[in-house]
Amino acid sequence: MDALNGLMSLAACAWSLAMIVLLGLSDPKSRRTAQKPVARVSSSLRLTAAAFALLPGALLLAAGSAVAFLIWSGFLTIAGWAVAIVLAPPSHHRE
Amino acid sequence: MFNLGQAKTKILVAVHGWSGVVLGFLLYAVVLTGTIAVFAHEIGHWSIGRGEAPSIYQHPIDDHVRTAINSVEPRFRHDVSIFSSPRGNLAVWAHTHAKRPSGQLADIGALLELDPRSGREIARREGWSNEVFRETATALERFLVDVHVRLHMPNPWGLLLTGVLGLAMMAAAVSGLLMHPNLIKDSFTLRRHKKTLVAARDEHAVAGTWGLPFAFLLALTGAFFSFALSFGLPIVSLVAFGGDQAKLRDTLVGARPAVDERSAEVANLDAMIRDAQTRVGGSVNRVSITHYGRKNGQVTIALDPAPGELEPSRLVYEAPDGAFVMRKTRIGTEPSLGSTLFSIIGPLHFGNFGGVISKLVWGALGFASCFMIATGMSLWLRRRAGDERWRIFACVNATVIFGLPIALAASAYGFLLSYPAESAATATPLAFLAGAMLVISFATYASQRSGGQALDAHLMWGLGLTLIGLPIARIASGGIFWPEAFAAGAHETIVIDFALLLGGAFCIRLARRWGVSTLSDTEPAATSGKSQMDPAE
Repeated sequence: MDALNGLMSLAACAWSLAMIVLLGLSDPKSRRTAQKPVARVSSSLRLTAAAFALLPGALLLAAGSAVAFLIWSGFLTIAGWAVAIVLAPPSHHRE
Repeated sequence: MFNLGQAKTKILVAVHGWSGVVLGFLLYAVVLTGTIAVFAHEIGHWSIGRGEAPSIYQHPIDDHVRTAINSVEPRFRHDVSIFSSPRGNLAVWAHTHAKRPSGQLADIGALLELDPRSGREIARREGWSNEVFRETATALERFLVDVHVRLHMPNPWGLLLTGVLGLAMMAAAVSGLLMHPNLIKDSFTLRRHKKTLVAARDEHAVAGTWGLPFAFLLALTGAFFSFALSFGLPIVSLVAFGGDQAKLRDTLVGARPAVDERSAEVANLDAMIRDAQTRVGGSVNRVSITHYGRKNGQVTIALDPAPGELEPSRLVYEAPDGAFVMRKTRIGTEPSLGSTLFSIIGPLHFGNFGGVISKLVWGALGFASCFMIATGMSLWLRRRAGDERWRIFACVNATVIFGLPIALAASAYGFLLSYPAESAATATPLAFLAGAMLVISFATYASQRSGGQALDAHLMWGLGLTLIGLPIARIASGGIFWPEAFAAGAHETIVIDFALLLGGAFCIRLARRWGVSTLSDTEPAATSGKSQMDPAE
């Protein structure tokens, strides 16, 4: 992979990861199950964050970089799973 | 996400669960070996301690290739393939087509391994292609790929089985998507109560939610590869071409050039290689010459995808004068959507389109799919925790999930301890079988002694120790040590050694936690979690 595609993938992954972390931190159901106070984050704000998380994909496609797009989309699914694991309460926690 | 009603959801849950239970172990074997096969080349380099080798096409090869071809028997000088050998040298395969004693058509010829700088001959083997290419240095790499592609079964049965498994995975992905009403809402909900149904359900659902698109994509492309060769092409040949294979070939790859047996020297290969690189970018992967030394000879240069592209290229030149003929499509003679899709199926399945970054991402996706299958089986068993009939199945499940990686690691031990002897090609699968037998014997003993309690923790211990032992076995069996590997540019060797050590340590840490958790666990009953399930469950 050339440097330009590498940089574009890296930037897209970092941006989407940040958005996914925000979505995970503000997820009302996971906060409820972790007995954390549920912040009043409007669903439209969460939808906007989700759209921002997907935005790099659209930009990479528009730029015609299929390689960067595929790396970003693969990373997105792994990042979502990883964020869910990291934010989950530890196993000794009880509802 | 989709609300199908209770009756339909119940049917989908049954289809999803039973298809998983019936085919889950084989599917797990294919997906796990596929995850490892993403790094097959790197593992191959690690296993023989190969250092960084520059492309063989960096140096002029024309003289070396001509000298090599002139040194083989004239009957082998029909077609020639030029590529990089497993040790990074220049490989020249001069061959012809002939009938085996059994009547089957195959390639026979001479394979020469040359120093790419000096052209000095390093090795030479003559014989049928399947014997000549049974290269000892790639035995481990080939074994791992073979288990993934056809579960080490003969053709076409192995391919058909892995194709069916790909379809089963697609069915599981679609039914999983349809049967979860709150797929998006639950994408971050991961409750980790010890050994409860709700924890098992969350683990499976969260991994499934995020991994679903790529699980589907990898299953689709994998099923295509399995069925295209074993089933698709013969069917197309029969249905569309009435069994006329020559007509099928002409349609799919273009008509062959007219026969012209007059002799003609091949033009300078280096000039053609330079021209191909200038035209499309990307590095040259393979050069093939058909009808070598004849007027109707052609040179095909295969190039890896250019930076930022997914599709590899193949350029065709006239052999006698080196004139550019065309950029060859994978299917047909004109560029088409079908040909483009066919070209990118490989990169999409193997994840080899963006160097080490895409391979790491694809490896992680494969691991997520393994986790999805393992947690799916675990969820199924958790629901039947009180049922004595499923107790044995639970032991088999733990044996397969944790035992298979141990057996695969055992195959690496078999290779490392026997390489460079010719026996490495046999020792690798034999060591896999020995590892599998050892795991099965231990699991049987543990199940009879303690009812299979903490079997997963014990096997995880075994896996951790097996992984940690691999770099030690590699170095002890004569492999290069880290400072030497660093100096030789064998970075892959160092990275894989550290990955094995870290992976082994992580497995032991998990095993210790699981061991403690099994002893202190007081709430394994399936019913304890049932009340917390979603309506769909």
